[in-house]
Amino acid sequence: MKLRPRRLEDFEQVFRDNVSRIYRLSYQYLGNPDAAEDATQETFLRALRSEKDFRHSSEISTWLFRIAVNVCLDGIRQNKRRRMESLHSLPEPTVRYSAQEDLEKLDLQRRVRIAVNALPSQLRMLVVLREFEDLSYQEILSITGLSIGTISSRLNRARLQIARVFQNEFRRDL
Amino acid sequence: MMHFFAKRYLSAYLDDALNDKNRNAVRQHLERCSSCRQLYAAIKQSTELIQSVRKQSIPSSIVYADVRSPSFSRYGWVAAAAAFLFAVGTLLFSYSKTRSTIDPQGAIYLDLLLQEAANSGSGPQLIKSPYHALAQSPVELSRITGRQYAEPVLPSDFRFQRGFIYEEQYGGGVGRVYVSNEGKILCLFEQPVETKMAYGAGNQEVQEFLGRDCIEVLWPSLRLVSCESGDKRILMLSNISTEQLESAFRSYPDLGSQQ
Repeated sequence: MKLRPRRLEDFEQVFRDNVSRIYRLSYQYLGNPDAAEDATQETFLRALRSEKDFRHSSEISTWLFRIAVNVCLDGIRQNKRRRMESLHSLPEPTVRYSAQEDLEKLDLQRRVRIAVNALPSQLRMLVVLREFEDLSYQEILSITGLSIGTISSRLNRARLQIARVFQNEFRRDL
Repeated sequence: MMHFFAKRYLSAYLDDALNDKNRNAVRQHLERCSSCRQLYAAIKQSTELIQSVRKQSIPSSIVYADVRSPSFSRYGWVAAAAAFLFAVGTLLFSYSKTRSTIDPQGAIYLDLLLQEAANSGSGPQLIKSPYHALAQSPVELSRITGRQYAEPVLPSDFRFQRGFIYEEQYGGGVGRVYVSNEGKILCLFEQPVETKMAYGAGNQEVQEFLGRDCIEVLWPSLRLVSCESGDKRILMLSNISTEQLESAFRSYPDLGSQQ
């Protein structure tokens, strides 16, 4: 495939406009900055190669999200010995927490991430799109091609699975 | 029937993704069905839990923190040699004082360009390299590295795209990417010959030129044009026609005399 000049400039603009969101989505799903960077790169590379598949009726960001979702679900570079579920692979905080409350919150954050990472890949992606990326059901529908009913029922399963992990704490709060 | 419908749409109800008719139907069912109310409560708690921590999930200071730090572990047996050679290269080019945090977005973009060059050249992908700096212009590259670079005389439609300091398992150096109006990509990589490294399909040529062994062919798709032991430089060109390649080679000031 050859880059045409106009396309190259357009692509650079598209890249700049979307790279942060694609990186964030990849990071939220993969839980690892290195893997997220690979996924981001792979997403834009696939976009370059499949430019003809882009339908101008949809948003380019939606199209890129669709590619990114597939890249993440494909588990790019699985042979790189990256395992995102490990507690150790989760990012260490750069901010120093002193208050006990903050420490607890940080611990909770890590446990929630682990619980999300433990979800089956399709459910995890929906949680990332809905909970972390704050996308509407219509946007998720455009990206994944799933119906509203399927999105909802899968989110039910994902949320209930997470709820089971934290059920003791939920009871304590009641 | 209503039970199964409502149960399926509990998350959509919670997320306010239903139309008025369906929302009312689910709400009325919840008033009557205790098992659905229990499920709904659990789903709601789970969502609130995630929401309570999600803003902390991707601290910006962490996001790119480790993305481009030198990491040789993935390179296996050459790790120690590479580390040593990189240290040599660093000294030779006096990079230590100029190494800077790079723009990660630019780095990803550069990776894309390089991969595109390798892919369209029908060879294997370039190895992803950590960059210590990215330059948007030749002037910026010179400022970062503290060296002057002779601009290759290329067909007029080639323009400077990115300059960068890179490292990979066999050493490191300075790279420059030019892109033509037709979208052809020209990559120039320069690195100290003192590192005893060589790239490309012309491995044998490099060995003959240097009069000593090289390690192994690394990037078969990249065409080796020449290297110059006296001037600490290897020049590589990729993905351009033979005519352009020869033209670039002839007109490259430091190497032209060898044609």
